[in-house]
Amino acid sequence: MSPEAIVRIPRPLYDRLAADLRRPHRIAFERVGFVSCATATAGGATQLVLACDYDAVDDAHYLDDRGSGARINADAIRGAMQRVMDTKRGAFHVHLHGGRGLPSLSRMDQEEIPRLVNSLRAVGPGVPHGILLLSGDSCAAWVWRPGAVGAVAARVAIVGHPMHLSHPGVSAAPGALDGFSRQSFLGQGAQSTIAQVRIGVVGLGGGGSHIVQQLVHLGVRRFALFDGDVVNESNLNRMVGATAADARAQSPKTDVATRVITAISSQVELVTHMGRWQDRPELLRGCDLVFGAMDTFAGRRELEVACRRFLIPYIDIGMDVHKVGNESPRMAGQVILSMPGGPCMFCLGFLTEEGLGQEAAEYGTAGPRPQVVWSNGVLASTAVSVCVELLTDWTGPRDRPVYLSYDGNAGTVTPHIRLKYLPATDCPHYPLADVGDPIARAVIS
Amino acid sequence: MSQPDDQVRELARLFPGVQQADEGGVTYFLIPALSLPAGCTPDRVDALLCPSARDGYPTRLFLAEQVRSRSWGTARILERNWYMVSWRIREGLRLAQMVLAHLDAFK
Repeated sequence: MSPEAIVRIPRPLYDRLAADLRRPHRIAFERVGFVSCATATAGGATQLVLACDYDAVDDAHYLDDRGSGARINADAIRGAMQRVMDTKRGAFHVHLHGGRGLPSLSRMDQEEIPRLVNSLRAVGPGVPHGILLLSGDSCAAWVWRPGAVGAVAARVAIVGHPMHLSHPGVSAAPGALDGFSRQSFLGQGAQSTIAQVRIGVVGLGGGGSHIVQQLVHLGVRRFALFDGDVVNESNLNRMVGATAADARAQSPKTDVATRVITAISSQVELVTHMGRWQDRPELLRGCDLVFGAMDTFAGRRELEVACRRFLIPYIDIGMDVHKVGNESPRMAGQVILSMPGGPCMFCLGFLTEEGLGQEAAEYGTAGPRPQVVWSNGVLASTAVSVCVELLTDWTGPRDRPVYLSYDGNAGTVTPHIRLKYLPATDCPHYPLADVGDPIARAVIS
Repeated sequence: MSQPDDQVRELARLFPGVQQADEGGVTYFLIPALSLPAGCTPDRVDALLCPSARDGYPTRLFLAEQVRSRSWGTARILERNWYMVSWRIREGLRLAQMVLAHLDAFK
């Protein structure tokens, strides 16, 4: 079932606000702040809340009140209201409770914060506002949707390495965690996270079919699958699950993927679209993580744009075979993790205007690209390992971007050489200010 | 990429209601209900001007609807699906001139 609200927070922003909230204050027992959030919808009535900025409450704006953890003055509240009016973004009051696990609101929070949210709603009635509450290792959120009475507990995703997913009152379906003892080394809670994550896969051919099969074996139970193509005979050399009967019947690739998934688990929540994801973008927005297994640079660019806009980690795979002169064919491929806030595929030099232009010039004349099952399998497996690492953090801290280069002739997967020369600057192409539904600015003549 | 103010104002004078928005480091201009050359169906359609290089073209004009059957492609920009035609205009034009030059594709 889709949650009524999803809150996504980029990890660098989360770490920044958590560090600020942990600073001691001269008179207050705890600190508070406000998170500015963009919005969008994600299928049905699901409200997306996308954190894009943080404002600490000034030290001088705390009141000396020994009866509460922190009490802020009217200037702090007016400042938050002014930002709502200026930015047209929602504002979320944020503070931190001690302890571990999913935090819950104190009685005072329940009494005081709704009044504050009402003030925010008065100046920004068209956007959601709410509360973020952090513990030592988790985060909860309550969202007041525009026009709604009362708040809904949101699903929260901290987007970065590692991903953190939480949703008060929601746990994995009965039996969903059974049968995974051989992968218990992934850590306590890892299987629950895997069972709750919603994963989108765009492209269900040679690469995507491997990814889907591995994910369901792994224990992923929530999928959104996109492919407008049908199976033909030329797919049978590499597409997992496709049969000669599928080729004869020209079965939709989404049907084959559905059959593979449901043969392994009957407990899946599966949404498929036999067509372009661009025609059902709201389904994509509801995903916690997206895999792309597409043939074109242009397709990758569009998918990365959408994932960046809605704060979704995007894992791209692809391969090609080149032949120059009389030399043996060279097989190469890549696995890239495009993490919101981190370097994008343009920053990594994988996408270039020159490459996109060349592809557009060759459109319709390039013919079918070489694809083989073993390289698709290597790349898909590598991509799934990146996903598992992201969701479970089982190998420990990792701060480097993921751009893996596959050499099919040598049989190696190594960090791409360009990572050595990556500038240590924020991605200039997808600033956090651009997240959420696009905001067009009027032009004055 | 920002555009010269005088060109942006000129664009707004010629195409009332024009808005601008950024995506992927590119500034686009959204022109509501752009009038198309005589004989086109529909005769008005929302358009999106990309005044910088994209897909090997120095500039592009995207339309919210397919206007006549020829070599069309699609693109998703600013959370809308757009149609585009393979049409190259000369470089060095002002923003408003770009729009008019792209409309020659539909004459």
